Amino acid sequence: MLSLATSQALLLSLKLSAVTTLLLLLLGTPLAWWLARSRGRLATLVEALVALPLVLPPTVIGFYLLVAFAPDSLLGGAWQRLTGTSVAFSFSGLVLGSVIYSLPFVVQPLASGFRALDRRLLEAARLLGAGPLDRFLHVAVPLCGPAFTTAAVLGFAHTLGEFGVVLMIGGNIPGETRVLSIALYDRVEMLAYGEAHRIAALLLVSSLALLLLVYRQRRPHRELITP
Amino acid sequence: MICSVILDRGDIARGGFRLEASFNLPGTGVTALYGPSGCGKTSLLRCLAGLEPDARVSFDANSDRQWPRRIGYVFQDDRLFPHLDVAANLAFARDRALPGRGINIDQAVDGCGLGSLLRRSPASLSGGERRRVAIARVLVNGPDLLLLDEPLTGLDSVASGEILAMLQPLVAQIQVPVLYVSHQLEEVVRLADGLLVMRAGSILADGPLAQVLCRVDLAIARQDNTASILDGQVSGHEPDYGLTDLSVAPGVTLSVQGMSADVGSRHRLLVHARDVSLALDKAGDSSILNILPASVDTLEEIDAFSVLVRLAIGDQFLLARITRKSRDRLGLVAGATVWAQVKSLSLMAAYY
Repeated sequence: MLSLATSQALLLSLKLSAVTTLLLLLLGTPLAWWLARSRGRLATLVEALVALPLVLPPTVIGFYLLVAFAPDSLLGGAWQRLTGTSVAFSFSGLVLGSVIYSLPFVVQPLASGFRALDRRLLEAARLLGAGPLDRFLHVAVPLCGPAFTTAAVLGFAHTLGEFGVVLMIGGNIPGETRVLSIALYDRVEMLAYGEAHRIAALLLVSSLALLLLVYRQRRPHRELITP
Repeated sequence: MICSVILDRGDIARGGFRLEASFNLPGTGVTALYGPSGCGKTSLLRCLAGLEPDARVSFDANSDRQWPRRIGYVFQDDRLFPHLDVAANLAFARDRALPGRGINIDQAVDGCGLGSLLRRSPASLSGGERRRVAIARVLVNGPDLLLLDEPLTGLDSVASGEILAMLQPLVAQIQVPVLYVSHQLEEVVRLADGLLVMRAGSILADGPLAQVLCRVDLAIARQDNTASILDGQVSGHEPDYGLTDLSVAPGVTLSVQGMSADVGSRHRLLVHARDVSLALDKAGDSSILNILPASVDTLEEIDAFSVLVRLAIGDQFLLARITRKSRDRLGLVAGATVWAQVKSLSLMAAYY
């Protein structure tokens, strides 16, 4: 069985992933919609920026977040007033870091889903009197269901496996910033290999299960024909 | 109202396209937009529907009519929402209809014969069924202007016949102008009251169907299936022979077989120019039933062998295609009195 400390870390990891995924779906959907329909230089730049966390060492993101949100900085002050805590050593800081760190995993599947959307159906909806939001909610979103599932699962799984950013800004505070990956690192440092095995296996199995969810829906279904 | 549409898609010499069309859009009734493939018919519809952002669409400010607020469009590719079943596709359109507009869903389901399809997904429907759903969907949405882009394209003759028969009463019922794109003369004649002839991005002719069909200067008059239409009013029946007599001008009647219609009702008859021959005397012993007195209005040589003759019968026109040799042998000139022998004719539509 998992120790109390590990269970606490597991709960925190799940909470962080859930909050981050929710925020990313809210922020990433309009961003992906814009990216899918824009062609200018600005869109190219934004697309590259969104993809940056894919290639950048997470420690770099963590470092810049620490610098940008230092308590005596403008952003840091605003963050303090907004959340009541500093970015460093706080759960809200972890959420901020995770949102940036997992951004491409949510925005990219959504944008490619939106790009593949049949524009002709949106035209038809428009002529039937559906406004932009109506078309988005009742035509685009249902038709892009698989893209939303992929985005949510990848965002969740990637946040669950986050380590570098958390280490840089979060430290190792039980119940506040000690997520599973940190707990694992901690156990190994203490040579507690039994607990480390359990945590590693937990992360491995849950990540695989989540990825199976994504890849299963990508397999083409047999067309259902009602008689 | 007079509509003008301009769409500029670059230099024509470099594969661009320019559409500049001005035409009269009647307040009700079906106006057919007829022309060869690629002449800009679909582009014109898209401009009218507001789907081409760089098009300039205007209409005469003097008109007492408003520009339509809701334009219904039946696309060639149907565009049913694949995530919704037939009933939900109809409900989508019904929920977004302008207040007090549109026929109700039950009427549309009956009119388009969708009763057994309501729970089906669009992917499981045949081409004809999809087209019927698309038409029903647009009707429940209550358009002020209905655009039908070749609604019979890609369908076999059975499905086409069903849809034509279904469309006739429905478009008569909704009382809004309908623009019907087609390159099939027979469809046009079945449904339309007015005709716009389009070629290479502009409107060549615009007017009531019978008038435009008889314009011998148009390419439409040079086709193998060139035809004219006659309006007739049922004047009596000959039950022994199964014939119905229709009056097309004072004292001029045609006999049509296999028709059941009330005396006094009005019908449209299609007569192909190749099925009309001319004689100077009334052939009393001919097997041809329909021999009509006519006067030659215009003669137009359409190729090296043939002449198209426009005949006046009362206030209606009839086209006849004869050889140049026959014209010379009969000495036909404008104003001559002849007998037009109609070998066959077809009944196209009743007036509702």
